[in-house]
This record gives sequence, structure tokens and C-alpha cells, in this order.
Amino acid sequence: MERPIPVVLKDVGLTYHTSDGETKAVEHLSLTLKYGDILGIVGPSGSGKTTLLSVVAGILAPTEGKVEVCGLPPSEGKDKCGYMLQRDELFPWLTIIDNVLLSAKVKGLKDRRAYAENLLDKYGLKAYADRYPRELSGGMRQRVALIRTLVPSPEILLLDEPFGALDFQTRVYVVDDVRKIIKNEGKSALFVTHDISEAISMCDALAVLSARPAHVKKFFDLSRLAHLSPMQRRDDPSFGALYDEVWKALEFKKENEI
Amino acid sequence: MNDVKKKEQGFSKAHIEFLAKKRREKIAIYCCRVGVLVVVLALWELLAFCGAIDAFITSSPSRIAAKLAQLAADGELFKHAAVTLGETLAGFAIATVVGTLVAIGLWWCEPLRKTLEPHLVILNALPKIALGPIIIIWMGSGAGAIVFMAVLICVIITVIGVLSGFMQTDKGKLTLMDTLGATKRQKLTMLVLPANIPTIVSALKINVGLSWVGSIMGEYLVSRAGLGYLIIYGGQVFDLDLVMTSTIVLCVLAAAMYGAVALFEKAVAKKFDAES
Repeated sequence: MERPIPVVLKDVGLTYHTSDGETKAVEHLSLTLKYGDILGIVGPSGSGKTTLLSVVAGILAPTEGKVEVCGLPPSEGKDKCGYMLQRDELFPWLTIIDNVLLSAKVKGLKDRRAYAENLLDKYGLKAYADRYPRELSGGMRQRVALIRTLVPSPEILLLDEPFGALDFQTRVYVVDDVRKIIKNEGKSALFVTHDISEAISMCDALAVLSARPAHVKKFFDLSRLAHLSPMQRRDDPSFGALYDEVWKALEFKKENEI
Repeated sequence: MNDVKKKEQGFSKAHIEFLAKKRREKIAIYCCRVGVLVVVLALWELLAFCGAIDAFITSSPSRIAAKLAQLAADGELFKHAAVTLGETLAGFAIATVVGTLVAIGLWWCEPLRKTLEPHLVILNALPKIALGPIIIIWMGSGAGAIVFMAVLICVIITVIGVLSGFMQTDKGKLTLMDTLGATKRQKLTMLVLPANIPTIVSALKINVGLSWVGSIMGEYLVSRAGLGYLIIYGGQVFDLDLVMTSTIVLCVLAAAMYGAVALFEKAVAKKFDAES
């Protein structure tokens, strides 16, 4: 049997209601995440990138259009998705292994300890299993957060600016690690970021969103860079031109003149 | 001391001197603290001895010591201290447990919280001693009324403190629980409660002081035993030695209870303290 397509968004629209009025966050947005791909989503701030992830995760219901997660409606496909946030959000009172097992515990999955220990071992954190988060560096903590996301074995990873809270140097290394881990574990991922070079170095395809209400403005296929690691991509001759193209597609408006 | 010695190996001479200076300062402060107490007691005793103050009105350390020995000898001291301590501990425990449970309830049910918040604030502002007569009529004049007074004084502030801790639970961590599809119960037991252990401990610390206020107030209103009873009784018969002695016993007990809670706080702080 062929694998179901991880994520299909068709003509999706979403309207927020607050006491100040209603906001159209997303309108006529169509997007497909192919199996095994990391699909980057870049867009101006406040363009509904996070909203999009919440829709796929089944946390928010779209007001229009169709969403399919592994061929299921998002409410049923919830366990197919693993969410990774900007900050690691490790609980300081739990050891690393207990933090990693939190996701399984919440979802009521038993017997994940061996798998979790295996992941920690594989990604160089075995020695820290019984330590507390405060004893780890920012990059290590983010790796722990990724492993916590992987423990319930999701098909799809939803990464919401997962490197935003790291300093630049750590970030470059962690991007490398995370891409390696995602590819290794055979996952598909939606990767939201506002950092263009991070998006180009990490992803297999790139969707540029418009300002609110968000739709896909331009789509970039980066599969020809697939054989390069994020670090190598930064040195690739096509990197600069690609960066300019994405930058132009984003079309940042100057908010105030200096 | 051995630990200190071991640590000092490998430090420069300047650093060892710095550490020694720190230690000297610490010892000096301790000496001064004890010194203040000694000087006040000595002055008190001296002034009473030479008749500058009337020991019948002010009592004196030696008279207090004699009274203490007498009360201890006929078992009165233990009896009364135990009564008050029991009432205080009961009030303290009930208020902490009930207050925390109410806070959990209000966290759980947002409309309930929004409805009751202003009422809580007004109840908190009300001087609970004003309810004395009502308490006597409702609860009678036994230990029940006294414990009730202690609970009343502590419980509202516990609810407010613990609830505000719950409401300040890290938004990012709550989002994480949302993305994992956690139920409200899971959020409570896995995140909100453990994250708020320090909040609850600091509520304990406040309650130590307040529960003593409650039990002594209660004993002033209704009682036939306890340190508050001894103080009131001593005042009525002009036995200032009894008043002072009871007050000092009270001081010691309250300090001991506070110390116990502070130790407990130290033990949990390390594990549960926020990001560090």
C-alpha cells in the first residue's frame, strides 16, 4: 500500500474572533507536504504561520476548506503529529529521561522507555538521562525537546521556530542535528521560521506566505540541494541567489523610515 | 570545617583571605544578634533589680525564669502550650489543604473563578476578628471555635496566593501540554501543581504566622486553656510574670514552627525552583 500523503491543505481559510473584531488569518491556502520532506513555511511576522501548524495539529479548526493529515481529518490524525515549540519547555523538576517520556505519558503510551533511552543514546544524550535540564546547554536542551516530540512516534513533525530561542552559533549546529535526526527517523516535517537562511539550509521545499490573510505566494523546490547538509548549503554557490529570491518573494514593507 | 579546608586547596592566597574575611563577617553578625538579646535582657534585669522600673508591671528575666520553672514543675506549661500548639497546627493544616483545594477548583472552572474573585478580595480585606461573636454563636466556645478562627484567618490568603501562582503557570509549558493533547486533569497534575510547589510552600510560610494570630485571637475570645488563655488570665489578675512567660513560650513555639517550614522550603526549592 502506498503511504498516505502526510499533509494536504486545500483552500483553507480561518477567521479569528476577538472582542476587538474578527481577523481573517488564513484564506485560500493550499499546500501539500510530501512524505519524507521538510517543508519550510516562511512569511512576514503575524502572517498566520503558527495558526497553520495549529490547524494541522487539530488544535484549531479551519473555518473553510479541507485539511487531511495522513488521509484523516486533523481531529483523528492528532497522534500522527508531533509539535516542537520555540522554547524547549523542559520541566525543571523532571530528569531528562522523564522529560522525554512526558509526551508518551500524556498520550497514555506505555513501554516507551526503551525507545526513549535508545533515542537519547543515538543522539548523544545518554549520559544526561538522569540529570536535570538546568545542567544542559541550550542546544542540548533543544535536542531533548525534539526527542520528546519523537517518543510517541509521530509521522509528521510540526516545528514552530524551534531555533528562535538559541544564540546564532548554537543554532547553526542544532539545525544540522535536527535535519539529520528528522531524516534518520524517516519523518516528514512542517518547519515554520522567519529566518530565510535557516529555511533554505534546512528544507526540501519552501512555501512563502503572503501577509494576512495568508496564502501561498511562492513555492520553491529545493530537492536539488538534498545531498547537502545545512552547513554545506550555506557555502553552496546557489545559496545567495536563492536567498535573494525568497527575500523578494517575502517583499517586506518598510514599517518606518529611518 | 574539613570541607572548607579541602575547597581552599588550589585557591590563590588572595582568595583564601577573601573567604576568611567573609567568614569573619558572618561570625561577627551572629555574635551581634546574640549580643542584642543579651544586652536587652541584662538591661531589663538590671533596671528591675535597682528599682528603676517596677518589676510588678514589667516583670523581669529572673522572675520569668522562676515562673517558667514553676509552670513546668506543675505541668501547667506543657498542658497550655500543647493546647495552643494543637489548635494552631490544626488551623494551619486545615487552612492550607482547604485553601489549596479551593484554588484548584477555581483554576479548574474559569467562570467560577471570574465570579468569585471580587468576593475573595473583599473577604480578604475584612478583619476576621470582627467575626468573633458570630463564630462563638456558630461554633460554641470550645477548641472548635478557636481552630475555626485560625482557619478563617489563613484560608482566604492561601486561596488568593495559590490561585495567582496557578494562573501564572508558564504559558509556553501550557501550550506544550496543549500540543500533546493533555486533558485538564493532566495539565493540573503534571504541570500546574508541580510548578507551583514553591508557591504553596510560600503560602505555608505566611500561614505559620497567621495561624498563630488566629489561635491566640480565638483563645482571647473563648477558652479555658492555652497560652492565649494564660495571657488574658494573667492580665486580668495582674500577674505580669505569667503574661510575659506565656508570650516568650509563644515566641519560641512560633519560631520553631517557622524554622521547620523554612527547612522544608529549602529542601523543595532546589528541585522545583523555576528555570535555573
